[in-house]
Amino acid sequence: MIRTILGIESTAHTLGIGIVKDGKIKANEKSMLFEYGIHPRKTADHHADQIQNVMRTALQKAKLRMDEIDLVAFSQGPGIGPCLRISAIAARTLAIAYKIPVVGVNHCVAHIEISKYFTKFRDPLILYVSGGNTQILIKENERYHVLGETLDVGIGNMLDTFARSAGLKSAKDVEDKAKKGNKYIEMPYSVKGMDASFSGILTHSEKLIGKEKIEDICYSLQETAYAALCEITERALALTDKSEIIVCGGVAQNKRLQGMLSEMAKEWKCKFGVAPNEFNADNGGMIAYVGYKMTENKEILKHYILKENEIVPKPKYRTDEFIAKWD
Amino acid sequence: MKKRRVKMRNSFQKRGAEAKVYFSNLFGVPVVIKVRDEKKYRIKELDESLRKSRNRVEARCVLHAARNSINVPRIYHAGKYELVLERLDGVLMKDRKNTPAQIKKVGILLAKLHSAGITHGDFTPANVMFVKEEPYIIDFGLAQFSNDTEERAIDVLLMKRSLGRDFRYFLEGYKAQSNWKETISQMEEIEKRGRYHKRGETKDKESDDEMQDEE
Repeated sequence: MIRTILGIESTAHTLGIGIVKDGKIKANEKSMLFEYGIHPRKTADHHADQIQNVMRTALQKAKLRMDEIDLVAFSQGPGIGPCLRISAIAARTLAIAYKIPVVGVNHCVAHIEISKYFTKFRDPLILYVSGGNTQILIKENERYHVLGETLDVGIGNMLDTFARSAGLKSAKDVEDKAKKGNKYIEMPYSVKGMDASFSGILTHSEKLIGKEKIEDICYSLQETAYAALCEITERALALTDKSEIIVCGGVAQNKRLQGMLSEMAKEWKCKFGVAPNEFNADNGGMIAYVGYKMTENKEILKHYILKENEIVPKPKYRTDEFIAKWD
Repeated sequence: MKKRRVKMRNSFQKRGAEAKVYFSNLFGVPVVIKVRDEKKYRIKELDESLRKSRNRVEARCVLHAARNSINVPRIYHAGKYELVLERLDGVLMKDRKNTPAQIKKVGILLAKLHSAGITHGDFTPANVMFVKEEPYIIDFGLAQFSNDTEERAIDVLLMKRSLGRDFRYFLEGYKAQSNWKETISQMEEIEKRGRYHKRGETKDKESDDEMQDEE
């Protein structure tokens, strides 16, 4: 009987360890390295340094010993190769040393599943916005299908890049500055069907640095980019007739984006839900939670358990490659 | 103008992402009224400029298509945020079973639209209506005047995603467009552009290498 699952997340700047016991999240510890962007090797080194500490704290919080863990779930992709490798090595080591079965989890699917857990939505339309990903998804036939996505950079990447050019630290600062802005500067607005493009907004905003007040640039940039996100979500909603909307991923923590989406959901008489911030940022809890979803049915679990030589990272793991055999 | 129209006993039909669609009668002629309502989630400046420019572009595209004898609903009136269009009596392509010959006709129709210098922007089976076996293109909400291969390729790609295997019949028809080869190769380019696609066969080999590396 599998009861306790350890989840390891290391797709990008965050190393996270989560523990799920009997379907409840018992621990969700993380350690993050983010200094003006992500340096792959430095970040991987940081993860390798920190993984023992973080794992120890997580086990202490959950009041468990390592030999009480029944299953290890690790983030297999998509992400940065060197960082992903850390969780793969950790998973493989635990598998061999403690004879624990290992499952690989798609990072994007984990974001979605954890949001479904917190919002209790069954069949939502999903807007997944993070550093590397900007996708609109629905679940059909055991897979998450991508209805629309960014044609160039991910929204979070765009915000971070702009923040760096403007001398700010991260996307969070862009949000803070935008709150003080009130003059709207016209920006390129690019929506194509259910896809959107953000590189134009980025270039335009970068050119404005120094010419306009930084608060106003941040404000206009946010308003334009999020309006585009809302519009593609609205289009997908009109097409699919869903009655629930979820926003997940790192950028989902942004209050303005949440506000716009909930306003839009209200107009369509849809329910709108978002997970707590701790679980929208990258975390190990969501990985462990997907591991738990796999164990709900024995027949299903067989399908996911990896052989030793299959415990490898998949840096280009598509969301729609992952089969989610639960409802 | 707007106030008077409301009195005209309009029946609400459909709510799209862009606009609300009403059926009505203008001097006894059945019409469709497409109103671009305010979107409260975005700021007023952005909202107004988007609605205004889209409404204007839509009207001009429909007009231009009609002048090039492409099957589109005729346009009766264009306001600031609303359009009054001919009401077609037909069935949407997505709501019926289409034979290969009919799908081919849709391909020819898009080829004609592109040759006239217009791209549709949302070319899916929900935006093609069959009236007595003849396909009509509706909803020019995202249309543009453009001869850009990229924009054309997006039109074809949207149809490809919706049609699946039947796309080959569509392609047969689309070959009526003189630059079709360029468009198709651009479309394949766009398909690769999405995030994290497999690149040929090399992927498995790569992970094997990685495995050895770690060991």
